[in-house]
Amino acid sequence: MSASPQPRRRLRLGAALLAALTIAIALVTLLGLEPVASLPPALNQTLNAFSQLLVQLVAVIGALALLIGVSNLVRFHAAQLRKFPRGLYSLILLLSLFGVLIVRALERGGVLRVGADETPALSLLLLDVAQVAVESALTGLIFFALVYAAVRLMRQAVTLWNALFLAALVIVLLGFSPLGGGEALSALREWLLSVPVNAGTRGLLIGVALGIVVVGVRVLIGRDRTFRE
Amino acid sequence: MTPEALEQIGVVAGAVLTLAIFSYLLGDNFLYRIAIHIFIGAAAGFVLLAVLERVLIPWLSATVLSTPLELPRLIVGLLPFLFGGLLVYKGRQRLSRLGDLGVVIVLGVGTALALLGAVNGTLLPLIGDTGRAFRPENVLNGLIGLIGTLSVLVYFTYVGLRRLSGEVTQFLPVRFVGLIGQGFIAITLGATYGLLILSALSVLSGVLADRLFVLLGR
Repeated sequence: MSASPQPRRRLRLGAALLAALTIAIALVTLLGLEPVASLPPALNQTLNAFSQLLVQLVAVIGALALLIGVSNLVRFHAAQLRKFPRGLYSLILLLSLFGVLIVRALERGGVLRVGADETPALSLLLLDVAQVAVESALTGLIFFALVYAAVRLMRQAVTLWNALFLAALVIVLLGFSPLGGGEALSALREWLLSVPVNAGTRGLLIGVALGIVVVGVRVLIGRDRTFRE
Repeated sequence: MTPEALEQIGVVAGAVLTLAIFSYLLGDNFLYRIAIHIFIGAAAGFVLLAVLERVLIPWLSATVLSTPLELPRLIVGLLPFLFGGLLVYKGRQRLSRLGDLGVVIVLGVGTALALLGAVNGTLLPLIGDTGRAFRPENVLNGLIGLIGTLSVLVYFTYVGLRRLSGEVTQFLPVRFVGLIGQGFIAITLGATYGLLILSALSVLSGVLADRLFVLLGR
């Protein structure tokens, strides 16, 4: 019995052109940022200038994408305003967003000034109150979630991997604790972090980097599916 | 208003918001949601400010708004707006082909940067570190490090043999080395989890000291 034939992939001209353009841009950027010694210096300089320009263009496109994202957020929450109680939260969000923008605009225009110096005191205060305070409180809240999850893990059926995970966790916690363990536990924690944990982290990071290289090479040889779907 | 008075207001407002966030420990509630929505709104506002003040305005002043105005500079200045505008169409089914044009430049430059970053920033330094771990006084630790690194990489090998029954099995040596790698991953994640708990604990104590005890002390 013969194997069923693979469905033939249709080659579309537009997709092929887009893939070729992507490959060309990627190669020019690569050659510009990592000059090849065998190429003439003038060519290397031109490629470098062109790749710098491409990177700048992408940075501006990224900024525009963020702008589009924020405008989408505003549009969504403006549409929620008539609903209750969700509309109240949306109103608070919009007030907070436009409050930051208005305060900054007034400070830039010189209308709003605190004290004699030029520092944007009110913007910095808003950053400290609405960003730094809430972010650090949320990070503090993570502590409870982490401890709760560790306790729940102990209630699960014991496997070798669970036991290794918990042993490493306990050694690190007690090794840093001023209460328990003494010298021996502290030395064990130091060894654990510098040898096995370091090796494991290195393996994971090398794996991630290899994955990025594989995906990058797939784009460079035109095997990526971005433009085919 | 004096800077001192402003600082006082900031401390009290920060403490109130911190308290509202910690109220989540009692369950999802009105105060927590208000604090989170203030946070998201302010974050979006600051992102918008950073994008405008650090990227878009300097770009426009260096290209489109520069004097004397030159045509090549004007075209280069408007190019990202053209590509960025095309990205909007990516979400619409009928016009998504137009959005692909915007993706081309981002994907091309992103691929090059990711490749360079992965090779120069991660692969070469880490492979060098693994080799340098072997020192005459530290052979055993170097060997453990090498075994750990390689076995973790082998653990993520998905090459196997399909048997006649349809079941896919890995080669025994790969499976064995992969099990050692799994052990190293468990230890690494456990230790990282411990370090994360310690960092969260130190942030929590900082928050309690800086924000909440201020309310009690005043």
